[in-house]
Amino acid sequence: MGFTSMDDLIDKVSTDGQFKRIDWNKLFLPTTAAVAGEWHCLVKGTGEPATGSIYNSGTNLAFQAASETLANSGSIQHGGNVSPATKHILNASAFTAAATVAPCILMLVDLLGWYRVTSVTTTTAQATDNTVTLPRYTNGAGVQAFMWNTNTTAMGAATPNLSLGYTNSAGTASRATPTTLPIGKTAAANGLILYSGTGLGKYGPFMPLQSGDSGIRSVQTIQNSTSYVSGEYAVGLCKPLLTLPITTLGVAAERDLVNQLPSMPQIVDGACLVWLMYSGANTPTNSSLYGHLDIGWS
Amino acid sequence: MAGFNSVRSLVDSEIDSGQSHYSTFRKSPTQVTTVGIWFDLALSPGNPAPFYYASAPYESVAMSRSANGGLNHGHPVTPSKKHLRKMMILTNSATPTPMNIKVCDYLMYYPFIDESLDGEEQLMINTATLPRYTDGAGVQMMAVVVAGHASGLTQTFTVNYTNQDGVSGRTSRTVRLNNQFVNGTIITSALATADCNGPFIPLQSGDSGVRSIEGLTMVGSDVGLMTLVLVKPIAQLSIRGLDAPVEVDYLKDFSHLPEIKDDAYLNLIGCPNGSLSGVSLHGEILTSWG
Repeated sequence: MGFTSMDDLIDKVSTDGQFKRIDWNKLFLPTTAAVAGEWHCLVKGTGEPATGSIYNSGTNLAFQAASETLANSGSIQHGGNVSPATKHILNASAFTAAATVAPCILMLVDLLGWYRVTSVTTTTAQATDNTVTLPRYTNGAGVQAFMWNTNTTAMGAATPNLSLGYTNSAGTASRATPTTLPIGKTAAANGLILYSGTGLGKYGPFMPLQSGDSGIRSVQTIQNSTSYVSGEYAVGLCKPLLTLPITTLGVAAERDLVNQLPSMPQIVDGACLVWLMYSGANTPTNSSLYGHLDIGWS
Repeated sequence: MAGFNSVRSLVDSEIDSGQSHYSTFRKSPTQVTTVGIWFDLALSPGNPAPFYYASAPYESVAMSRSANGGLNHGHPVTPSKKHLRKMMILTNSATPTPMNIKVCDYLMYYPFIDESLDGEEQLMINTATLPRYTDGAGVQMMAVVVAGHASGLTQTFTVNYTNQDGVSGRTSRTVRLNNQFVNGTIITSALATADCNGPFIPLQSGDSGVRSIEGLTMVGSDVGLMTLVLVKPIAQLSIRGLDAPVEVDYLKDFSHLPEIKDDAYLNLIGCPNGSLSGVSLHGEILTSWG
């Protein structure tokens, strides 16, 4: 399914009412200000949708699937499943009421699931449990990984190299994070993507993949090369959907996704929509962000 | 066949196969620059980390993503071909805007050329050869300040090089050192100044690129050091103001997807309208392959 023409799109969203506007607001994370150049996962910020509090629960190293309807997932509620129709984002916007937030870049992702890692003092490659598999984008094409602090408390004082062993989207196992390895930040705060920032070994927002790969189907091993001392983090697997750059206080970043290429990113049934944020300036705690998504389906 | 043969194949590669790479970058120059003088952002702090062209004087060094960093465009994709799909850039200050920016593949450099040797040709050591665009077609020379001179506009120089056809003994046009002394300055660019041009050193008539550099001859003497960098310009964009990000979709906006070679070292040069000191430049780079 999907829109067969511009006429069909107009007909579906106007005559048939297959359209929904979703307004969201999110406060930046509540514990520690961001440093310019860092990426954070905003899922634990308060607002609408509410805080996603589930990501530091469950069995260590086991993959858990995320979805719109998973309790405490922090997903934007986009209206449930529409299959056999397909749902698409038509327009998107974001703005801020705080000058200290701009400039920044917001990235909307479908968070497919996560591996919780509590054994952060273990320095060898730790095997994961993949009894649960990807709930969407099941072959892993375009699926990216990021590692973030899921706790209110900061990680311990250490700067370990971070790496994954994974199966790529072609089903090839034993793929590895290439050198130069991402380096975790010492005392990484709530929500921080551990290896983001400025300098050698800093990447943003996703873990680099082995040459030739375009996605991750599953993760087999997770390693921090030295003890992270305390705290916990998660390895999230996600599908990026769109980005919105905010330049200025009070000026909405608006995206017409019908006329871009590729156009109209699909929201797959069950998608767990959360925001990642790149800070272009030091971002105070609880800074406010607002925006909307227009979606239609056919 | 590598590459995209239709819009559909591009979209399929990105959406169905996930063959794209997204990354952000941040450049925070500390140098005070002036209007109309091109500046090499490879030397500026941020992410990617700065690169200072520090190695043995006169000896050519090939550059690559794996060895030297640069904008993160993702891993090699051979036998596929990778293309620059989209770029976005924004700034937190109106001071340097409007500002033209070129995205370049930095291929090779010749470091620490002495500006005090009046009339004596300084010979280069071509230990390394071009790692990409190996015939030199479209490859340009830029002269970057790595230790500031003292009195601007008093010296000129010419470069002896081999062109894209392999013809040696070619001589660039005479170019003049400008009067901006901070590291990263492209020393031959300036507004309304005789013998100062854009970011690249003009070639001998009929030439379209540089395969290697054999020597450089200064006229006039001063303190200071420069590095000659061989680059392949691959794309362009312009920051117009403080209040809007510049977003370029190279397919829709230019009908041309610049190719990014495997392991290319990418970075930016810019022509600010004011000082870059304390300015943050933030951006996104999206590549796709098929």
